[in-house]
Amino acid sequence: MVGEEKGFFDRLPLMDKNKATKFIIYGLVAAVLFGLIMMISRSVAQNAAAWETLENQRNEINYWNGEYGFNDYIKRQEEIDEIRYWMEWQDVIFMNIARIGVNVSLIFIVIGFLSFAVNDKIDEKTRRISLIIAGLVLFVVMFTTFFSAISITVL
Amino acid sequence: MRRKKISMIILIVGIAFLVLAPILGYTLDKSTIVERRPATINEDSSVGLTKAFASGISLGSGQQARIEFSVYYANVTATLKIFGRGYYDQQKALNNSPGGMSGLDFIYSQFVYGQSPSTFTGSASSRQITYNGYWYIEFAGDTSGDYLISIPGSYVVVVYGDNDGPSANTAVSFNIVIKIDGPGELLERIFYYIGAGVILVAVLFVSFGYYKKFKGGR
Repeated sequence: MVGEEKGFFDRLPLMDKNKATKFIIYGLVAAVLFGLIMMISRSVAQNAAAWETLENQRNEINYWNGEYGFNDYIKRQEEIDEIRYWMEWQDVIFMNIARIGVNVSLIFIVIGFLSFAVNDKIDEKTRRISLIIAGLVLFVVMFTTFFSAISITVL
Repeated sequence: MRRKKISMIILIVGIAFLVLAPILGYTLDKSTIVERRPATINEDSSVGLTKAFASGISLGSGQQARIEFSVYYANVTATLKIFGRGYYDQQKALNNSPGGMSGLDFIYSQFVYGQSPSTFTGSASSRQITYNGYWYIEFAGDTSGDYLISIPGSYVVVVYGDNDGPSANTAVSFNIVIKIDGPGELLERIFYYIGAGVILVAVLFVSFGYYKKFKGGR
């Protein structure tokens, strides 16, 4: 029908080159941002114990300086423990949010490359490479979705 | 353009709340009720409660008072006790000797570098200083070992003493600072939550803008 608005999925395979490129770029940027959140969150959680040691030492020094008494010292100690547990627990929250974000971003990238692959205005070789990349990214999405213990260690 | 401006304003407001939170927390952490360096009473204070130094404090649940009590004056012996308001009023009406009254338990500390804080902390119902000395006292109603038990209520901090110098010298001078928990901690938490909430709203606002832009195919 003339003037009928197409839905999100109806438009996907017909995306032109510019729009597909935008999809890939937005997907990449979003994936990098969510990846950054993941790394920061993990780093905070992993260094929680070091932070706790530092804060406990500061707490003791503040007590020795007479800034507060024994019960305030104990109270601060409990607060430090609570914050430390939060620093570890936030990892679970942000990692899951970031995992969803990265996967959604990767799907955008897959759509972008698939659009290249089905675009008959692009040369055959580029289309084939785009299809392979889309397949690889999809493979990663599938793995990270269904298997949670995948990690890459950089030495 | 308008959307950008609005999200910027929301973001700035959120950041302002986050910045203000620790400042408010620090400045309103404790309220000073009494700060007298020195406070002077007469040695008659050890005979009758009406002549003793008295300062009322009101404590809510979880609230605690901190008292810095010191003496650096020749011939002065001063004693600090804390009473419940009802008991104090009753004994004051009779003008009884504060020495014979039993005070409520509080925690006192001494600050010794390199030593575990618990080693130099104790519980007592009175603290006496002769000529020189300093005690940092914490009070919340009662104690269990070296820990405070919070019992909300109205209390009176009483100081009485003697001057063992020449008989003409009857002044008993001491220094006292009384502080109670202020609203700082509560305000700090509230401001943090509001700040985080406002920033979340800004992020959602911006994301929604991009979503609309994308959906529009622009």
